[in-house]
Amino acid sequence: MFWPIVMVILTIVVGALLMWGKNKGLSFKMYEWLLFIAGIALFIFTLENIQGSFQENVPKAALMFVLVTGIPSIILLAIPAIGTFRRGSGRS
Amino acid sequence: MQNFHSTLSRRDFMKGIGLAGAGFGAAAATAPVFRDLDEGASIAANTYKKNPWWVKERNYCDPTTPIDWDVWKAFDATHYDYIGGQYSEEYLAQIGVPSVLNESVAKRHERITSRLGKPGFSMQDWAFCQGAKNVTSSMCYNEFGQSRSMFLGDKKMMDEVMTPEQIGLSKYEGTPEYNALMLKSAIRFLGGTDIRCLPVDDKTKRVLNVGENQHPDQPYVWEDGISWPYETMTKRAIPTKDAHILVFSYNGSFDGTVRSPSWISNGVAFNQCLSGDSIQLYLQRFLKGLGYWLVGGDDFPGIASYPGAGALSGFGEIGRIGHAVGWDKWMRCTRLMVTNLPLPADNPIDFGVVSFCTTACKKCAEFCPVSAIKMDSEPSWELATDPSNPYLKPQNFNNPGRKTWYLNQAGCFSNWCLTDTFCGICMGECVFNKLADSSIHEVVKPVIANTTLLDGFFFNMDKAFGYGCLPEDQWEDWWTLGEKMPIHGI
Repeated sequence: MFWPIVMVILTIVVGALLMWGKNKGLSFKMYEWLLFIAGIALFIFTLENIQGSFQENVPKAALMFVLVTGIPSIILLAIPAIGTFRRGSGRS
Repeated sequence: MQNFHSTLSRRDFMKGIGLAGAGFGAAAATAPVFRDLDEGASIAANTYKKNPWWVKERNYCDPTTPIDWDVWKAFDATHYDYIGGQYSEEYLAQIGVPSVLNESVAKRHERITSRLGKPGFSMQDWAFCQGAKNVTSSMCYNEFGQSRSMFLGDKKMMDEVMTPEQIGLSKYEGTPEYNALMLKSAIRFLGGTDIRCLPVDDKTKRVLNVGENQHPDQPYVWEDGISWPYETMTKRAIPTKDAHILVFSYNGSFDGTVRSPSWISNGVAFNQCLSGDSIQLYLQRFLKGLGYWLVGGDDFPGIASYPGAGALSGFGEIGRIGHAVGWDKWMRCTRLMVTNLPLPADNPIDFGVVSFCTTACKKCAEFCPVSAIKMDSEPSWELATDPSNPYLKPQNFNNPGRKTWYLNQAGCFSNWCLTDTFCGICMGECVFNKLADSSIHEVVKPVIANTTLLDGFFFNMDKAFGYGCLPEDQWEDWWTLGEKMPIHGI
């Protein structure tokens, strides 16, 4: 039940962010969409493997996933967010 | 009133509905209906065999361990010996071999109490190790009153089972594929995991041992002209007519094995053997009830080279560690039996184990405390060696004719004596020994199966991520697992 709940929450958060951005007049370029999707996928992959590592009783692997895949996923999500906000604030 | 009007347009509302629907669809996709397409296809086809797409099937009797068919033959396990005469008397005494084998009560108590208190050697661990000891085989007797005799099953238990003919019915008939599926269902009910099959021919007969050292005067012989196996004081006869080989697998406990070497891993290893014996005895009775015979070996060393059987039948590949390394949860043992129930024929598989061990990984050898596993990058035809030990007789425990990393079993056993355990460090450390809770393993395995380019990277990541045996200070957590302890430890 854990992962379906995570997917629902992520969908709601992403949907809300997109609607909020649309109300603010923000636009998203194609490459930003791609980076965003890759970042979300990597983020979910990281969460799943952190949970799996704890279940496998290998806590060090969980920490390594945060470093090896978690931080890159945050970076991938941050790049389109920063680009979008810069365009939006530049317009205003 | 205007303050209560929504600023959401109809178009945006429908877009949101669509997005929510996509999210719920993704949520449904993550629900465990089919974990992968292979499982879906397998369920649709209802077949006994399910290999993922990245496991390649090889030609019949052509495993990734090359075999020289001019040299490799049935191993004479009647002289199977991995300690006697393998070391000087002084060294054997030093590691306690005579006393372990013929121990006085006082010496035994001293040996046990000297270890108590260390992680993995607590009172509970000792009791667990004794309690999990394989008693199944010791309760089996043949018609001659010989104990630990499981060739035809326990005589008393087998005599209680009636064949269909005995109650006026024809024996059961089924197609080979259905029979394999039926046996797989039975094996899994009994705690096993899977089944593979082989025909009986000149090549596969060589997997069977000539005989076993527990009953050295009763070698296994193939006989024409008989329809049912039998046993005398001088032989164990297996009919060649309609014979098929059945190889089944059963799991060990991952949590126990990563606590090697300890009395916990001892108990787990004992219990694993017990599982295999129980399944074997059940299957013998089950098949008799269908009107078929099924023969198997004694608990040790067994009717055949079980890792070899696992490799030839497609359960796994023989890695550096000397065991048949499987593609999913590694911790499986395989056991071979012979029957006249019609069964299909399976082929060896290749999913990158031998190439991984060759190009990148020596982890088991690095962690072996007595260097019993070869450190050579490439496998070879040479039997086990130990330049420091002139007494070593590898021909007593290695069967020549395969290109592999032959294990120095005498060295391995010497560590059993030194640690008072079955060790198992190599199994706990093996890179392929993984549970299935993290999806990263399902990403790594297909890559290893298809290319060696990243083998070195994956080997280093395995170490960096901390996989392998647990630190000693976590061993006693075994007793607080509670609800987290899997049923049967599996």
